[in-house]
Amino acid sequence: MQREVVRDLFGVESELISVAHELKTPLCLIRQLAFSLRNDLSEREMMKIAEQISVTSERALRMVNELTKVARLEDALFDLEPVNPKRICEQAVKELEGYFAMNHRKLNVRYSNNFKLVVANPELLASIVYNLCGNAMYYSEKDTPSEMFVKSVDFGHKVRIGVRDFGPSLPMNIYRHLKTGFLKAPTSIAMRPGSSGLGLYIVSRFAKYMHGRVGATRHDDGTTLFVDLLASNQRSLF
Amino acid sequence: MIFVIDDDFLMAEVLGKIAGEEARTFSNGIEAMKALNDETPELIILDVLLVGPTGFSFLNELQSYDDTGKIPVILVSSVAGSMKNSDLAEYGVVAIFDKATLLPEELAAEVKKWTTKA
Repeated sequence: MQREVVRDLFGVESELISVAHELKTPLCLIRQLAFSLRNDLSEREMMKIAEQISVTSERALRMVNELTKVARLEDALFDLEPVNPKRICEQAVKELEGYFAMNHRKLNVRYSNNFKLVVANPELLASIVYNLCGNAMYYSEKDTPSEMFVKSVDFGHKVRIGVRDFGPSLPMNIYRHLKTGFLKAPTSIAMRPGSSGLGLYIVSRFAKYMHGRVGATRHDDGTTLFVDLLASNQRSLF
Repeated sequence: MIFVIDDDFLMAEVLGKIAGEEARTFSNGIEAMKALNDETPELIILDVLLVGPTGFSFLNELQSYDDTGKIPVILVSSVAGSMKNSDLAEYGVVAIFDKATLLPEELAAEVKKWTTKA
């Protein structure tokens, strides 16, 4: 019993450390951007910095919102319904275009013709797509495009939504965790430095809630992270 | 010329501007090591938690060669609290800053100490 309590405590601590680190990154950047506004700048430069502060703040706020959603999963407040993944992906691409451009990255999208609607919650699915794209941007080399795709798998019973990046391949230890289709806790910052451990954890929690799974393919020149969700037999109205 | 290595592109850009020097930015240590074949910077500003090899692996790599081993390195990291200057001096680290408390003028002053441009 005592051991379980200790393990739980360590689990919570590990999550808190990951969350703290993830939030520290955008907050430190906002702080430095705010300092830079004290310099003698042209109006154009000031506008650029203001835009960078805005985008970085949104990134931090999105993370906080998603953590709130994770905490509310147990209350089963998110209804599942037939959702068109293409609509969610298009919205994400539109919203993330500026963020990618600001970081000298590009996001392309490819749809296969025959995928069905998915059984999902639109809000949670949108969070999954944002996290997969954000992860791809973070791991991509400068000036290389990431590619989001939606396709039918498992003989049409499932729909795969994934993002391929071109950068350092996914570390083997994280890959092994993902092979189980679910991450039990955020990966520690020592295992996966930077900003993607928590994002993947959120993706895996949301996918599980929607009866889906998260997976990964390692390539020589990058990684594809994806979620497989149950296909709905309802036809798209769009 | 200085190198700035930080996996957050915007942060690398901001640090480069604070340094007030001509700066080349890199999002990981591998890219920076490749660039070191072509040019030797006067100073390197380095983050620790990077995509791929960490900042510590990069420091080890720098020390493996005579010429790069002499380049002074300033660490700017969000995990700086757990590091001591004295422990990392033998790896060419001349200063350590915590991103959360970093003041631009402090970094600029430290950069000035190690570069020839007035």
